[in-house]
Amino acid sequence: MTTLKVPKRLCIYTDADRRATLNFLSFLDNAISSGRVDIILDFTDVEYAGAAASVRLFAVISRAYFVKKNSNFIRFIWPKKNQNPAGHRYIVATGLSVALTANTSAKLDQLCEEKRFFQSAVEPFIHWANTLNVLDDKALLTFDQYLLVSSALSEAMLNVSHHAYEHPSFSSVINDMEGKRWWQCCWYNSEINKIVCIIYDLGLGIHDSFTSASPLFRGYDNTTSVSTALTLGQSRFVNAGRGNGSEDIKRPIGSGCADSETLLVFTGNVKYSYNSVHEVPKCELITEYMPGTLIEWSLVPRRGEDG
Amino acid sequence: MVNIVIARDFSKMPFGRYLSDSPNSAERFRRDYLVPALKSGDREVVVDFTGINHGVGSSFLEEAFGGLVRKEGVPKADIKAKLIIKSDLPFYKEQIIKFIDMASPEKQSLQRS
Repeated sequence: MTTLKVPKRLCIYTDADRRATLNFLSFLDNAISSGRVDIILDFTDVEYAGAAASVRLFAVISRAYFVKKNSNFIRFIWPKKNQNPAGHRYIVATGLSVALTANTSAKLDQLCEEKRFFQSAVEPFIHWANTLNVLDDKALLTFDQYLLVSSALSEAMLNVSHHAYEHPSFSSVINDMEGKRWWQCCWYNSEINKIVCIIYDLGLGIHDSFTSASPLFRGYDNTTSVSTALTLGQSRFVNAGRGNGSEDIKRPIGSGCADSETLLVFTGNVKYSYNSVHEVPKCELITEYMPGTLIEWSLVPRRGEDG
Repeated sequence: MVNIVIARDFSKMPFGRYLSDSPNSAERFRRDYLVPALKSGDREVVVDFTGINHGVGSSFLEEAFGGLVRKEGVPKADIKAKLIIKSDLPFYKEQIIKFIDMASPEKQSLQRS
């Protein structure tokens, strides 16, 4: 067994943390895939784990259980509450530790039944309804917010189902994963008063998906393809029966409202962010590579009702 | 006038583009409700979104309404002359009009019509 120490800050939001985190996660992914050694993943020293990095980690481990068809390749050492209360809170109290040990589809289904923050699924309609039940139960959103978030989630889940894995190279892993799988996290962070919803797939990524969809988009570089794909009115796509989900995905971000709400997308070497205060989307090249597509909505609950 | 109240007549949870996406897909709504209504004469067709308590995604709206042009070969002018959208959310109507405007008939639907 080889012991791998998880970085103290498991985070992809800041430039300072992203490199170490994504490099670690790629190393872990490669080490698992190579199958040469079994791994002990040691979380003892983790002080902070951001939601997006946690979902990426969940996806790496979860996919490996399906592909390798056993769970003996990895063990975990969790942070202890009395020695590392912050690490315990981010890894254990959030349910990430339970998600990381969900090594069968039945255990993943159980995460959904228990309405845990971290979940994984392959059926958009069923899981969309379940996720909406969780959001509705918590009653954190206004009705208008709820309508917009439910549309956004439906389009993000359908995008996974329709487009994310549309390449012959994924046929084997789709079979292993029992479908076109995504991993997600929906939680309310009381410290910053934000609802965070994340949908992450391990598919092609927006750039490859977009540029392969039409000859018109071949030759687009990474940032141009992602920003174009997430721009309104891709008419040639619409007429091909796709292409307007990006409107739904951006709509929950309250344009012009006082509070800062953010849409964040990591895909390949691109980070795309859209903020309710600044309104103009920012699309930038990052040196680290993020396989697939991660979409994160960070929303202020019950916006406008307290003011 | 034909009145289609989606939540009453079809589903309170319209979802997805294709039949494979859900039992309440746009493809089924278009084939079972919109096409028969639009082809039933010169009557107005009111599609009412009242009572749907979840957001309806663009893929549903595009496939249901843009699909009338793309896949069913219904002329845009006919649709626009007959279709009335009732919704508390104005962007449903805006999106539907945009999807109809952007759609072009696919080869098969041209042959059918």
